[in-house]
Amino acid sequence: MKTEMTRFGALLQKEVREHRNLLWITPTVVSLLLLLIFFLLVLGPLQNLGHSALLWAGSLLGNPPLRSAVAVPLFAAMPFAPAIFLTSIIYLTVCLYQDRKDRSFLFWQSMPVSDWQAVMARAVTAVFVIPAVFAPFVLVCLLCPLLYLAPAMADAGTGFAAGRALLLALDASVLFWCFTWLNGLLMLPVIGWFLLFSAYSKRVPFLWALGSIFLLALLEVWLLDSIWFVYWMNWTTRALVFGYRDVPSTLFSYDMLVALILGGVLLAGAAFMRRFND
Amino acid sequence: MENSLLDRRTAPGAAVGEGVGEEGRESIVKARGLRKSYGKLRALDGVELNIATGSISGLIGPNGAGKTTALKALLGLIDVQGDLEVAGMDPRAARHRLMDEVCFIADVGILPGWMTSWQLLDHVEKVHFRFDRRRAEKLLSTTEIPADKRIRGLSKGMVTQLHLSVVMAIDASLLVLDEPTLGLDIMYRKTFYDRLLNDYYDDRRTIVISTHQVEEIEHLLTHLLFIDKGRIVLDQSLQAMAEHYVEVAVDPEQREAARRLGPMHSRELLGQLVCLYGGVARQQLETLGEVRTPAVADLFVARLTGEKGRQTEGNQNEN
Repeated sequence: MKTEMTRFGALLQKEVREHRNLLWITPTVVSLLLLLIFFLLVLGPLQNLGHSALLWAGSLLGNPPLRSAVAVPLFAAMPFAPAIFLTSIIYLTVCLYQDRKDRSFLFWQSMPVSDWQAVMARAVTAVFVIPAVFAPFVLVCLLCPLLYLAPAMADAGTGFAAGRALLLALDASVLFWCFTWLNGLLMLPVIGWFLLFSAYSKRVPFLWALGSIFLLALLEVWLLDSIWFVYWMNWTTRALVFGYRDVPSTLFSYDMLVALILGGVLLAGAAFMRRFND
Repeated sequence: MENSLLDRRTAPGAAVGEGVGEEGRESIVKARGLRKSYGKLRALDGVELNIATGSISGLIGPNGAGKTTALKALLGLIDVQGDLEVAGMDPRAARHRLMDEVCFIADVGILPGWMTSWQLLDHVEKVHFRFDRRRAEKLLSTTEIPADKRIRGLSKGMVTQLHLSVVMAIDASLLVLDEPTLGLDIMYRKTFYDRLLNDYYDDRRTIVISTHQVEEIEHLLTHLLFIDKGRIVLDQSLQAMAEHYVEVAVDPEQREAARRLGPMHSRELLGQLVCLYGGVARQQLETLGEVRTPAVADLFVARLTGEKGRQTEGNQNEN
């Protein structure tokens, strides 16, 4: 039984297959770097310092309740957040543009898929699928050091330390995915912006998207003599890339409402551009 | 299959009327006053079309005549002005719904190069609800296309075969082909049209083909559409064309008489004058020499250059 969900699922699968190099290489590189740093700390020339730090981390993880202790692995997973952000931006920049460049656009247009569905598949990929691809990498990168720390946690008085390490890794990974998805939704205007230029640009879509942001900032300085836009961009990007927030209150906040409305308008613009940019 | 096609080509009464195509069939494409401009260039300048269900129409025109623009308009890929209805839908408002009914193959390889043929079948199966996976696999099994090789690694002929197999496995009512065999060698070109006729075409399906290689598709067509400078300059069934246009290989002693009858176009062929007439009684022309039905390519040249040809001929006479 084929449904619209089957169709949308196929569109998401297509995105993962088409951009497999980007989606797999980035988390692999980040994970390898993090694991390398970890092994340098525990086995390399800094092992004395690293060992003390790990013992301290072990005591931090071992004693407090799970809900508080999870902050440590969550902090350790932070390098994945800008990696997801950068991967998403690169993906969004090329995804619609690439179809036109290799002329497969005409083939995709010959399928019974609306431009809105095609654009939404890209947005959903950026918000949900890319973090989901990163998820196992985050879990592995947290699990390795936490299992290594299990003896230190046991020394600090934790019973069944390996189990606690596993729970902490899982808990931190799930929370990390939730924050990433939440930030992705709050970033919907950014996603819509890059998709708009990916659908519009005849060449160098990244420069178009970034250049127009600079142009808006310059226009504001020139016309209004203020730097509100630059300030807002700086705050938003930092807060969204690096910020961990309360999930329920953010989900039902005015910030989220504004992001969804503005993002929706820009996504509709991208769909319009995809349809009529001939 | 070919018999039924032949029967239909020679069937009487090929009138084309409002909303009704050849032999009183319903029209699957109805276009009135289609206009499209790119800057100062008028790509479509009031195109009128009426394509009957079950016909095989050839859209023929010189480079830049507006063929691809017209086809893109039918497919809802560009925005145009005017009234347009394809399979009962307005392509501009419902392009994706229309694609349940319409398939097309463009002039260049448009299949995504990063996919393997198997991944392509997987994707189309999930996205297109009228796609018959088993039929596509059966069609592919008659080719040498490897299932696990990326499309970018296939030859142009194989890519076209793959695309045709996918399209033929979709239960669509209209197939649009825009220069589908461009750049293919003669073997692939012949196979392409043979498969199209033998394994795909039936009375329920309509095919619109745009091509420069008129000779290759002439035997397939039931209907002719000539387009030039964004306008349809000929819209006629093959049957009506055969009745209306006559080509005469003029006997040497009848050259003056032939010229006096005002041919649409004339040319010298191995020292013999060959004239093409429109709307002149066949019996009258039979006195001038050997009479035959003109080839589509000759009619095309005559329609587009007839006026110029007559002027040149006039000048030669004066000299």
